Amino acid sequence: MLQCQSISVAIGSRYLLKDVSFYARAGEFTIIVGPNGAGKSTLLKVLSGEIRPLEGYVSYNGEPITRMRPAQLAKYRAVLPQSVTLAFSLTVEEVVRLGVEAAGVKSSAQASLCEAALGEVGLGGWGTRLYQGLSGGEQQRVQFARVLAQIPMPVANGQPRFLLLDEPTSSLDIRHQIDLLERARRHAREGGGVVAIVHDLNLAAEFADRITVMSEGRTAASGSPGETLDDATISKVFGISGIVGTLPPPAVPFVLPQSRHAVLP
Amino acid sequence: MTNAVSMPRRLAFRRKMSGDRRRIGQLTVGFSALLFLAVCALAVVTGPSPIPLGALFRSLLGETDALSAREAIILHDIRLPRLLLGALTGTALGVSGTMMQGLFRNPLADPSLVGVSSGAAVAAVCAIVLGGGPLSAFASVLGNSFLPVAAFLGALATTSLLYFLATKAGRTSIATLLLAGLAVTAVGNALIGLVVFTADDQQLRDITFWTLGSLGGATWGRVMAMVPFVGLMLAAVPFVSRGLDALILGEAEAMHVGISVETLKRTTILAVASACGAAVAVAGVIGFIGIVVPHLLRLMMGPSNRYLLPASAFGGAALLIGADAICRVVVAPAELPIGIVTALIGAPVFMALLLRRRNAFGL
Repeated sequence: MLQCQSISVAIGSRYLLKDVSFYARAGEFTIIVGPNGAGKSTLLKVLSGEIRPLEGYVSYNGEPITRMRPAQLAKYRAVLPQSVTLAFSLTVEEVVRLGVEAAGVKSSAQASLCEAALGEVGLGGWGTRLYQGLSGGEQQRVQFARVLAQIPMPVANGQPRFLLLDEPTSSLDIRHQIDLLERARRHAREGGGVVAIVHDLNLAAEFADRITVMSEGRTAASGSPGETLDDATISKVFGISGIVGTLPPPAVPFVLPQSRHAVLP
Repeated sequence: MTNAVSMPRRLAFRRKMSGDRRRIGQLTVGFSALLFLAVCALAVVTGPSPIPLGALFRSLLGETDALSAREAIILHDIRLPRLLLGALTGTALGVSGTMMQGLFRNPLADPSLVGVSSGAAVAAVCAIVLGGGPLSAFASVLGNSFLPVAAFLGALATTSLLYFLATKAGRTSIATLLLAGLAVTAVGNALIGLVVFTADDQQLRDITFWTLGSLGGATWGRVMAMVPFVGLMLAAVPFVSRGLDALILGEAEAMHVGISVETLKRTTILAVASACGAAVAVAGVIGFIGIVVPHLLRLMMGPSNRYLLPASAFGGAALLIGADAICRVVVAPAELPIGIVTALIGAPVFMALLLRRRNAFGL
């Protein structure tokens, strides 16, 4: 289990996070939602070890993060950042290889693992291309391949491994949004843990096992999608009421990713 | 072997080396090592008093009387120390350029351009002037290492200062870096001016030498004094190369893939300061090696530091030795300051880099 307790993070006198407790269980897909500036990314950075909180502690499978070296931490969790700007021109394979190396794989197996990870995000055979020549969405998928290459097994040595995804679907089309979240959910189904920040509430409702709603640096609600994505919470946090489970007026088209599971009449 | 058999093999080889460019990297390291050896051989035999290449080889193979006594003395007392000093200085400049560019995540970071060499020169000049007076105790204890140690401290202070000035939240703004370099260089020149003002004639001659840059002062003592400093930097190479590769993604991302970023930064700054300081102490401020060599190598093999760092060591050494040979030959028996030649080669490359990337820099 990935857990953090009474986390506070501040810049100067302004609190980005105030007394936040959060956990992500192995086998579950945990999704964080909330308005801009609610502290979602900051929480994810605390969980990944990137930011050291002012107060509170983080632990992976009971082991406090402060006692782990970066190399050890890299075997427990992989992180997909919102966007990555390369300083020098790497090929797609070289980017993914950085993940493979972090997993501690011996060099003879690295090339095939790179290719396998690229295949998982639908970019098999793209290894030779230059990363900087790709579109934003393709770059995001390459980074996701790097994340998968870093944590190749959802469970290793009897311990669950975690994927921390900061807006993994932000520049993807709806097809690839679903593909990526399904791949992440598979990681959870096979015993690993996934924490993702997702803005699309429909996708969050479909894929999350648990949702944490954040608002103004605090946890506003936490629980199953049914418990958290209700009218009261949504109107309190986002300031829009009456949009949960209500169909739009007949003239307005709407697109629901969940509807692909619907049984057609 | 028939064509039918060799074809698929060659295709397999080509498939393997695209995408992951490690094979090209290895080849480039080998190529730059060969280039280095070739330039060494050329530099040893050329000069106002040429040494026949054939005779040199025979003497290397153990034939004691292959070289005349005069040639042997020229070789041992003039050419060899100068060659080794050039190799060490070129290695120091090439590798520290690559390291700084990786650390600052920017292809324009070069020790001489951003003021590291200038900081080292200030410290060296202070050491020359104060070495006879207030610091004479240190000078006598450290002997030949006194200047390199002083220059190392100057370079260390400058590199650290630059890093804190120009890097905010893991991002280095190239404009800030170059401007900070300008400021540091200006302060350095002012300090040197101040010291020059108080210097005597002999000190003045020594100081002037720094502003030009030259391998002319090569002695075995200086070569030996430089070895530990460059050795320290080369010893750091295997520890920083994966970290610098990961840093291409960004500082946070490097941490995500298991790099201890703070350790990486400190090791890199120390290595750069050590080698740059020593290079400045023995050869003065020689510019552009650290920017030209990594840039050309990256064009060939990509930016992976695992092979780029060793290739820059050989490439830097080859370029500096080659430039020094040119300096010795074109106006023989006089010598051109080497800074002129490296600037003539380097400045156009720098301009090309700026042109190609000016949009990305927003300059």
